[in-house]
Amino acid sequence: MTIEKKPIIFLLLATATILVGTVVTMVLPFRWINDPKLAIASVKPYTPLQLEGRDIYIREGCNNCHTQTVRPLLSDTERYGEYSKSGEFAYDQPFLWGSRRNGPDVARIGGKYPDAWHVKHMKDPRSMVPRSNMPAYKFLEQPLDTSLTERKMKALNFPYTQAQIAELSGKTELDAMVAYLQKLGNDIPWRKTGKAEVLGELKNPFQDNAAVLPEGKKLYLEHCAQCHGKDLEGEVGPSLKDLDKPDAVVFGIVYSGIPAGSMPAFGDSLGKERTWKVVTFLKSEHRR
Amino acid sequence: MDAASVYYLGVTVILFLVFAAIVARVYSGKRKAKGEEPKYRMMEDEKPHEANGKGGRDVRRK
Amino acid sequence: MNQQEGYADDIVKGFIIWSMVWGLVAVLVGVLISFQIAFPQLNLPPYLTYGRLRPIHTNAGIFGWGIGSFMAFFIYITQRLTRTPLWSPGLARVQLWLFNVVIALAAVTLALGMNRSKEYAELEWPVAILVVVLWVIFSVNIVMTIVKRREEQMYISLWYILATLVGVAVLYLVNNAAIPVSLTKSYSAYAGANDANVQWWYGHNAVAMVLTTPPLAIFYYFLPKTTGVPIYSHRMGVIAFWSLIFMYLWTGAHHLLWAPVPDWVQTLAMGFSVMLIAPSWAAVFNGYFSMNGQWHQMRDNYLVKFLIFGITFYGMQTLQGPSQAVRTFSAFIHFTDWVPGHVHMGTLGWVSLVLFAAIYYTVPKVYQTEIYSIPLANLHFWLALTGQLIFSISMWIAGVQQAAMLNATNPDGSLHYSFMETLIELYPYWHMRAAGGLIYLAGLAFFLYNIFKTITGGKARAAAQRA
Ligand code: HEC
Ligand code: HEC
Ligand code: HEM
Repeated sequence: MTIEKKPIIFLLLATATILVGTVVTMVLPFRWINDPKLAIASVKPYTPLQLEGRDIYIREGCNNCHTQTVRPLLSDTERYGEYSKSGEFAYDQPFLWGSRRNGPDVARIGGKYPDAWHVKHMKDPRSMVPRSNMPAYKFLEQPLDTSLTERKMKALNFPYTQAQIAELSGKTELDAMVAYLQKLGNDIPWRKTGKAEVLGELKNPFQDNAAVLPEGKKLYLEHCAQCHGKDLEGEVGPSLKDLDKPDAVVFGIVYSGIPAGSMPAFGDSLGKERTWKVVTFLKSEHRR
Repeated sequence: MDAASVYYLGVTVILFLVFAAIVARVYSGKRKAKGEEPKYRMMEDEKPHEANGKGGRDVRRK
Repeated sequence: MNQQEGYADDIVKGFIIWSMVWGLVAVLVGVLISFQIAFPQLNLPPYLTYGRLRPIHTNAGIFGWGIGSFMAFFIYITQRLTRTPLWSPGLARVQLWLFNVVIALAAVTLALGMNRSKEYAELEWPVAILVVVLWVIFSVNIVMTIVKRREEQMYISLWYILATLVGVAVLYLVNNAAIPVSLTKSYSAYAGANDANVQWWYGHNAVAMVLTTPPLAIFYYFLPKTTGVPIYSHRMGVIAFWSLIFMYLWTGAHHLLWAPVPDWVQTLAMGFSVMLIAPSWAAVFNGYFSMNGQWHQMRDNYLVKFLIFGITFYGMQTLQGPSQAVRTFSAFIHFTDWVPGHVHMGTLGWVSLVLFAAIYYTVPKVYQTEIYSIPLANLHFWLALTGQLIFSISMWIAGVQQAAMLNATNPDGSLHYSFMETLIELYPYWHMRAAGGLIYLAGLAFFLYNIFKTITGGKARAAAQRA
């Protein structure tokens, strides 16, 4: 027998050849992935509003620029939070891990910013982050189409109540998107474990050191002005003009954030030294 | 060695043997001429072979 | 309509022309999105934003330009290697229509935001079903032609063609399994990490069965045809063939290194990716050794230049790919611009250079004429090469630089740069890439013009002969 001469036998053999690796690396893993042992009880399915937001995320192709998986690598976990567990994605059909981080990972974006920040950012990213290349999504202020919502929830077997469906009326696509973003990554209590700890004695190393003020101001404009205003006048966050708290307290707020109040923690991205510089800048403005 | 390593090693050895068998077969001396024949025959394929004695004519010249 | 007496080449013409049209669309959209990344004001919501255009770019490129021309050359090559006319030219004409309908539908539905979000399997289920019908029609025609062949043994190109037909079918059916909600919306049938694993099994084997085996079939056919000397070793081709189609299917998870899929799946993917170097380079060597004593043709024969540079980029691609599949290196460059650099050496360098050569060779044959201008073809070659190198090299540097910045730490262990600080540094590279894209586009314009003049010249000559 020579398979070179028998195309049908050849086809069968070629199919068998490609099926070996397929079965081992694609079919068999179904036994291990999403195993009940890996399930995380606190991970909840999407609500109708969140699911609609997720569908808009898919429609707009946000996954072409944003990933949703934090790798167990320092540069990922320090930047985005606790690394991703497979159990966290049990309700993701399809998965949205992405393949390119043109923008930051958003697997744990939920709770990082207040809703108002997202609304402003989605409508005009460059008003918040001047050099961002994210498209502006102002048109998402259009009314949410809810004609398929119940069918979608049923197709995915997600629990829902009629009250939840009723609540959708009057919502915009942007509302749904923000609801979705705020859910992301929050089903496991990672913030408590992953939170940057303030260690050691809290004494401002740059106290009254005017030399660091220009850098402090630069850091402020880059990281804080989007919420607290260019001139500290306040916007998404409160005005910082009359900040009479001691340096160490301000440092603690900036370094560890105020999770309940949606003030982000900057310890991970700024480090101690640069955090102190921003604090020095803030306090100098206050004294003026 | 733990079970996983034994398993990896076993699969590797088997795969290598299959590979060696294919190479031995393809490169066996008695198949040399046949194995290389298609590469010469493909150089001349301007027209279809005659089928059932009917003359082949290239449609391109219709 | 009775083409039984010769090869059915009219249909080859149709596929070549339409694949060039879709190729132009792919490159135009590609240039547009490269500018959008550098100048975000160029996003025109809702339809023309980066998020919606990128899938149009990849689908037009892989399915319109890639699959379209593979259909042309599979039909062309199969008839010749079997010395048999196409089994059903009528079916092939239906196939051409359906192909264009599918690609046009894909472009429109994606612009409207109907998107399954799975890379290279974005099309919503009604369009995906049409793709399946299209593939079945195509496969039946090719397989029947081979079954009815009048040449006993099958040359290596036919092996790759057959493997492509089954490979794509299996991949596409599994990864497109969906739960429909309406005509325009469905959800993947798999969830979370399972979905990811199925997707990248598919995604990497789209690289295997669409961006590797078809261009290899075409390369193995047209290299001997253009140089006039047979391929170096048919038997080496056979060994490489079985190894290649065996190994590729194990490697999907190298797109998921460090992601929450089981470690052993990742490890297997890493191992097989490295082993893939062997069968990949067997093809490269087969190409190089065929040139023994023929290297002067690199100067004299413009087609050889396209083909040999094509296989060279394939060789570089299959060294770079396995290195990216190693956990430590992946940790560094995954998610950065390095990867688009890799992708475009493969698509613009390897796949497209081989397709250009095949088109330059085939069009004069099927239109019974001479190529309009060889100098213009040479110009096209150099523009394509320059554009592609600027693109890939600028993206590799950008990727490494961003990776280094993202990993930089302060003495106290905190990260030195915020994400935005790393992004701002990428703009100069994005400008360079856009410029590279424009150069490639200019080359493509000369190519299209050259082919257009060749076809019209050929038609004129045929008319003159008839008169
Ligand atoms: C062209 C690429 C691109 C696309 C498409 C895109 N983004 Fe972004 N996105 C970015 C970049 C770059 C940033 C970082 C700068 C900024 O905050 O604007 C960002 C930031 C964000 C942030 C803040 C992340 C953080 O941790 O600060 C969110 C939330 C976000 N994008 C959501 C979305 C959503 C939702 C979509 C789809 C509707 C989307 N993005 C589409 C590029 C993109
Ligand atoms: C995403 C928006 C946002 C950003 C960015 C942000 N903040 Fe805040 N900030 C807030 C909000 C909201 C509060 C109010 C929290 C509360 O009191 O519950 C706050 C509170 C504060 C407070 C406490 C004010 C007070 O009167 O108690 C300080 C100090 C502060 N931010 C400093 C900073 C600094 C410094 C930066 C930049 C490194 C920064 N913030 C960036 C939103 C933000
Ligand atoms: C031995 C051969 C090859 C191996 C092992 C390989 C490996 C890889 C790896 C590991 C990635 C993912 C990079 C990352 O995201 O970190 C990748 C991406 C990619 N490669 Fe290759 N590669 C090979 C050959 C090729 C060839 C010949 C092409 C032809 C064009 C190609 C096209 C692509 C494409 C399109 C992607 C992008 C996928 C995406 O993220 O959307 N590769 N490759």
